[in-house]
Amino acid sequence: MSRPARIVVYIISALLAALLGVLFAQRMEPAPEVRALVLDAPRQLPDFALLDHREEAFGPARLQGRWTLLFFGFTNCPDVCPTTLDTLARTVRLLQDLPVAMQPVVTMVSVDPMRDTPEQLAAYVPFFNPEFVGVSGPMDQILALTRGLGVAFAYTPAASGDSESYSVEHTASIFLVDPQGRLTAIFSTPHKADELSAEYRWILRQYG
Amino acid sequence: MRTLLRRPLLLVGMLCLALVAACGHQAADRSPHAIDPWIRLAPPGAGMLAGYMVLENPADHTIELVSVSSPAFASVEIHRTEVTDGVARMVAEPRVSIAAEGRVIFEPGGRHLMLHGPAQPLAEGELVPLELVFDDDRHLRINATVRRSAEAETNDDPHKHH
Repeated sequence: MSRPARIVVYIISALLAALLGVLFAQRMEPAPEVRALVLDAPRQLPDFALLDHREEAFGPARLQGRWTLLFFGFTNCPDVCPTTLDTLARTVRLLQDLPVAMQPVVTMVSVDPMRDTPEQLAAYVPFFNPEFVGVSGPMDQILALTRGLGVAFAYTPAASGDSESYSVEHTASIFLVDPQGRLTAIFSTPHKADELSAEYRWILRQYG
Repeated sequence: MRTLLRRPLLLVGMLCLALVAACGHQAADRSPHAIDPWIRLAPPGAGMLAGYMVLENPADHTIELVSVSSPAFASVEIHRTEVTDGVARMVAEPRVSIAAEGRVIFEPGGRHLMLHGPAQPLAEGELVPLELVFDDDRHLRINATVRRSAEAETNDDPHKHH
């Protein structure tokens, strides 16, 4: 073989080796069975003006700077919401080894603003973890946020007919919002602390 | 022993007693029973709490749970959480059928006792009396433990060393 030809062969071999190396390296980080729906492109949230349980303004600006695990519920919920809050408390405990700036902020937005005043949320949400945030406010602002996320909710009368005891059907998914305030992923039920924390870690690694 | 053998009537009497005792014991075993009844600890001011357990029916026929009450709550209803298209809703179950030699599970995210209007805030570890009434008029009195989480879930702390 002539010298130039040999050089071409060497170069091609080197490129092939490099390509194989890259492919092999990618296989070393196997993509897990991620059940979460990870959006192809993070979605900007609509504008909304609500209050947190300390009656401080809660709008899109509050979702900047930290990852947020956001979900929708109400304090008169016996099963789903306390279970979700408890699962999230355990999820956050499993993520305590992460730098604080990478740990998620858990936020529950009430779909029952009539009964869930900031005061009511203050007695409820921090019980599961003192860092958790409860959010409520005017119905039109709650709707602005729920519509932007595709969250549905409806009021159903209590079997007893008592007008104060109505229940609320609501989307039970947990929404992951990135530090730029964009919807990044959706975790549908059932929720398990070990699965949520593992998928959260995986998503953070993808985002660098 | 010699006395027994000499008094056949006494022996037969004692055998009958033993048989009746055995039958009676078997009948008691066929009553429904609850395994690990617990109530999720709720924040102060929570108006609705949830109760969970495994309810077993060892009898050879289906029984129905028709009502539940507790002195600790204004009312108790049976509900089931259902998630359809991502939306969670509660479905009332006025009666719960338990198949012969079967069991029904009350657990977070599923069937649960909806405990409405606590007489006073409940503390972790407290035992709360519940009375379950079945369609055959059988009453089952149980004590539910107040807990933060289901037992199986309290051990997922990665820093805990066993």
